[in-house]
Amino acid sequence: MTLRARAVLRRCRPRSSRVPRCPRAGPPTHSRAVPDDVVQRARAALARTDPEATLAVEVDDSVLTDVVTTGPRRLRFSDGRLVVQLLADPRGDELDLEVRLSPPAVMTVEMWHPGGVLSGCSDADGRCALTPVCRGAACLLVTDARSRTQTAWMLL
Amino acid sequence: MRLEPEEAAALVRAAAEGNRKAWERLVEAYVGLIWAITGSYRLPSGDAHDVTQTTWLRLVENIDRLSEPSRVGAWLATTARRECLRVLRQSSRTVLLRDWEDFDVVNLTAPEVEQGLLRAEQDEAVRESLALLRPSCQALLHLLMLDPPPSYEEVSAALGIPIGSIGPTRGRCLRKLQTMVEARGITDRSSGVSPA
Repeated sequence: MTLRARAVLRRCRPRSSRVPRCPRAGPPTHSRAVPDDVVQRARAALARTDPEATLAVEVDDSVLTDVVTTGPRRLRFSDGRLVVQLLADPRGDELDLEVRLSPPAVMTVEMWHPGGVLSGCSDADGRCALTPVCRGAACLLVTDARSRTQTAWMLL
Repeated sequence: MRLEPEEAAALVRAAAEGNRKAWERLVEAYVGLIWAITGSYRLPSGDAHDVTQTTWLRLVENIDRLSEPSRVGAWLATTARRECLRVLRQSSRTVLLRDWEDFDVVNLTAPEVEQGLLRAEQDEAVRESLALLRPSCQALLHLLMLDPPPSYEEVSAALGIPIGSIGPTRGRCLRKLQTMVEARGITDRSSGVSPA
């Protein structure tokens, strides 16, 4: 393990910020009028990005490419330098998420999701498990001392 | 009010520089369209909330990369449609709008009847008849009744249909609606529904 990797690991204190209940917005049926919270969330979207981060665009989603959609959903993002692969395994309103970085690297991993922010750290193989992640709009921020990569927003 | 292309482009450029008022003006102009699109695809409320939010977040991350800022409405509509389809595919639901190609292309001169339909919207009989139309007709008519009304380009992007087919399809849907409303004993004048 490199000195840099050790330094990142020291900074990484994996936190299992357990979310007691994943928030689900709105009544069960779709209303004709736009609900107030939909407007509020749209207005708030402008602030929900990391201006310092490089954007990793979506390059694959098994929901769109697989003929049979069974098993964990696979998403892949790339900023041209780092490939971030996600395996999302649903459990009701929550998901178990596994992050794989390529090339493998020890990095801090933050998942922004409806339940808040879930933090972890990838191991030397570039793997990190995050759970529980709430269903809804989410994105992943992967950082180390030299780089900062944010995936495109995804709907988990 | 619908944004003129020049105004939309100016708002996109200002929002890209962090101008909150410009962003809120964009939200005001298009949030209804995006919400209606989620309704067109019959998403449950929770999914509709998520798709709408994700669509706006996608605009934030791409706002300085839009090749044609003046067409931001069509960009949002396309993004929302794709997210709706992705949610439907993920949940293995039936895509109710798959049958657009099944429409006969009728050279019907589609009259301007949206205002009449809007007035008649208050009439329970019309609403019940509307609910009996095929889902693709309901989706189109609901979008065309929005205030502000979306452009045909935005409707095309929202539903994934050619711009040229919107007018004829609208006329065909309204004719069906008229027939159903009349079958309930309601005349053109009282219902406001008259495609021809």
